[in-house]
Amino acid sequence: MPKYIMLVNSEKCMNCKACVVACQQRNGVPYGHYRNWIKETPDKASLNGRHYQPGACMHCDSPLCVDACPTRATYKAEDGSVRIDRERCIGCGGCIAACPYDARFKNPLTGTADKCDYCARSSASGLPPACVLACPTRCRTFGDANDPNDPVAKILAANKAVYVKGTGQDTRPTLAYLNRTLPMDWPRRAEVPVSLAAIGTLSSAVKLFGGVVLLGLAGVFLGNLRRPPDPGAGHADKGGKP
Amino acid sequence: MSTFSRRQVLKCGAALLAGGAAGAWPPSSMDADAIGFGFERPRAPEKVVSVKGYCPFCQVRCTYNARVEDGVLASLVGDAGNRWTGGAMCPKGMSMVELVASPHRIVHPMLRTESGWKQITYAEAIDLIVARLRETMQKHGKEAGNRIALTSPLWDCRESELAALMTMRMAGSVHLMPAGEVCISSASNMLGLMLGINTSTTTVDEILNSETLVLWGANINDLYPPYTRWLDMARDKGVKIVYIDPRRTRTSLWSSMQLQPRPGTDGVLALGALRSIIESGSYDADYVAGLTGDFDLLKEDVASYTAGKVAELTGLKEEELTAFYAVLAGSRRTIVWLGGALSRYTNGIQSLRAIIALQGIRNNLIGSGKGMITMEGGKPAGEAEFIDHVCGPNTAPRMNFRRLRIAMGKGDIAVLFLNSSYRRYPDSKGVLAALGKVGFIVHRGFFMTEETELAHLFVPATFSPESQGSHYGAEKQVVWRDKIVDAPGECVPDWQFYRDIGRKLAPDKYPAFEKPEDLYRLFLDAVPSWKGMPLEKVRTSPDGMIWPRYSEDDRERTGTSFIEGKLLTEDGRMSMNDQVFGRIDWEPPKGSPLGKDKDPNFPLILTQGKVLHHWQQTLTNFSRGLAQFSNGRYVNIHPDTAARFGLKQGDQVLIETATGSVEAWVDIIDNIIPGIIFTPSHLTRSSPFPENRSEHINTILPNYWDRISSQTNGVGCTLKRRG
Repeated sequence: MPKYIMLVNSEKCMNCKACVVACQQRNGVPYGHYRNWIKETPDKASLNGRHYQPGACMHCDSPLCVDACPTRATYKAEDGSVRIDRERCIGCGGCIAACPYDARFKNPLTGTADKCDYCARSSASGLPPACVLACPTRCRTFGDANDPNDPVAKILAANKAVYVKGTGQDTRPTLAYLNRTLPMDWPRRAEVPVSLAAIGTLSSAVKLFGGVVLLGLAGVFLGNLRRPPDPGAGHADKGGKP
Repeated sequence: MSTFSRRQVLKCGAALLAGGAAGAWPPSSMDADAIGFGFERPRAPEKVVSVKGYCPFCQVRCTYNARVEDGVLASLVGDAGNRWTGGAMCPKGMSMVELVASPHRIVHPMLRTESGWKQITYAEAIDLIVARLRETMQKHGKEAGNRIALTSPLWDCRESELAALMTMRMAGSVHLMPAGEVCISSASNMLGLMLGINTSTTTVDEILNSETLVLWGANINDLYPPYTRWLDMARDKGVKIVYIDPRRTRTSLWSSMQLQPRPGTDGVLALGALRSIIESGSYDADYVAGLTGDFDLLKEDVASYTAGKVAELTGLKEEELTAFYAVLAGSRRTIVWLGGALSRYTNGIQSLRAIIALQGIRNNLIGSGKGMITMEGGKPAGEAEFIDHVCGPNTAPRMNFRRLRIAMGKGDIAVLFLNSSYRRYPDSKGVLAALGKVGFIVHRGFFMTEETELAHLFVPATFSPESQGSHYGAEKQVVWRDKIVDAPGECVPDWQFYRDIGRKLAPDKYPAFEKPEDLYRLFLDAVPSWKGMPLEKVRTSPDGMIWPRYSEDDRERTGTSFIEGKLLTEDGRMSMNDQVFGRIDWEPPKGSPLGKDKDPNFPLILTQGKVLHHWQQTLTNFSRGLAQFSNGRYVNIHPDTAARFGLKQGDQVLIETATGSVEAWVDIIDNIIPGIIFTPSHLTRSSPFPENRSEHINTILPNYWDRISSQTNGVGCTLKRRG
């Protein structure tokens, strides 16, 4: 099973925005909304005084957005990506609030949560994600970390992976920066709203309760098949006599 | 204590219901989605088609595969097979997706009447133009040609330019103003004069074979982002990259050394380097003797440019100069990339001559890893050959814009095809007044702009994806674009527009081509240097074919243009004492605070230029995708300058020159040297997006000319706080 990840060499980013516009166009994201971004930070080590850090959904292995989703529209797919099933999303915004990276937004066209999905819509035709392809300096690499022959596996082996993590929270992001990046402290402390977290538990309880009820009903039905009820007993049970 | 709003309670209730439902009934679609990456069935288009094309803007000429979903242009995906771009594109090129579908487009011809604009048909528009041209030709006879002019560019393809040139000739005119007259002609002319080739002398891949690359005023990363990959590869290969620019920019990130001289002092820097190299004997005397007969004159001309004098004029430290000179003297293979900025000063001609001479003296012109690169050219020859072949030889001189402006001002121009923005010319208020005296202005455009406001007749043009045709890039590569989507309304491509006029004017003479493919093939038949570039091969190649190619068996020409080992000037040598331009020397730009004509009221040096998200005056200002990153009219100043003028970040100011003022907001950065300002060139008043809206900068730039063209940078200005 593949595990898709994104690697970013932010030392090669010049903030040309090609990745941002390419993403918006490929995925039909309205201008003014962003599935990816570039953060600009003062950096004395840089020759123009700035460090540019491209980013997007971190496709976390312990994603808070999944915990926050009351309808399970957001889920961790087996290929490593965090995905949104738009047909199930009710646009409640819980996942948006829960993401420490602010990687999600409500798409005004669809009314649902939206974020990077590695350009899933167009990947069927063999295209790499738009941001990867448009970048003039190839500062992003996308691929299967489980395939030793994939470029990402080779790059990971040759570089130090740096992960931007929230304070006190480790959502286990899979988007890795190579060797050095700035800034590191920007993820906000995000909480899964209590009501939405409860809904998940409640949903499981409903599921369990429904299962128990169904099991009980099935047992009664089977029992009745095997041993039909005595018509007379009913009357007796009711305490009456003919 | 937290409270809940009614909306939150309702939302929570809905979520509870939905959550319960989700828990009870696992989705049938999720399992399949969870297993494989890449499918979102509900939004998948029914039909996706990929069509090859190219970006019409800069000379990188990125090729792409347009993704058309259910008949709509959805996105442009850079062609990864393009060796020059590697599949990269920049946001400017990608804006074409949006521009094609822009709600601001005018899609029908409009005629100005006393009661305002009146919509007319395309056929009526053509008849009107032909009638005007015939009237002019009848009234002025042989002199009619000097009453008719056209300002380019023609946006969609090379065949459009050929069609327009033929139409003008059928009307007796040769006055087609090249778009680059303002911004590139100094570099182009000086390269032609000294080297015999008026564009790059080598291809960009050769920088990987150099030891040193000097980006002389060439802000590659901001202006031509896809070409950053070449700087990236060069850096990885150990090439020393020296960047010369008064501002630290995105290009600084790839440089190993940056010099920040005062604007307009590049010539001083080059003359100082020449002096240092000559003084230290870092040249091959035999080679130089073969290269030029003017070496003794050059030695005299550079003698006074000591490090002290150069430091004083440029504002650089002597140790910076020494380090730079040492790099040049020690490098065995150096390529100089000439930025457009060099051509923007009235002393640009002399600066360019000094830089070209520097490359010559160091034997860095001929061979691998050597030469000059400019992004402002690359046009393959053959155009004039073809037009003469069709229309007969021409001996009439062509006007430059200065002469056209004078003619317009006198009321001598009867018909003007205004394709480009008049706002590109300095003293645009004066240009506007001259345009007001033109008899009939036909504007080919897309939106309601300052040019549309002037026009007597507006005929809407197509954007490049709406028609097919060829184009060329900086590496002299010829590429082909297929038609990608239909044009709306009565928008027509230029090749069709000018063909329809030309065929009515001269039905017996004007070629009866139906489409650009026909014209391309006619061209190949007439021009030997193109014969080896058949349409089918150009069309299918991811990055086209490189001109020239006399036969299909010819070897592709990349690398140095001097394949015979000598310059392409008449005698194969370099002149440093020209009949017109004299000897090589330097003086400050006209109107500069560094010059004798300085005005103490305007102590700051004004620089203006292209920024990442703008391509010239009109099109990209109509893109919301690009407006996302635009900040309106800002003025960059150093903290010291801000302190000197008592300005704070975000202050509203007037940028004032001797000829006028524009509003701007102050952006204080330490990436710019003190004493100068920078503001973007290409904002426009008619943009629908406030982020791109401003009076254009040329309203406040004086009408200063060098011997070739009007130039804009380096004049004095001041900043005055508003309110």
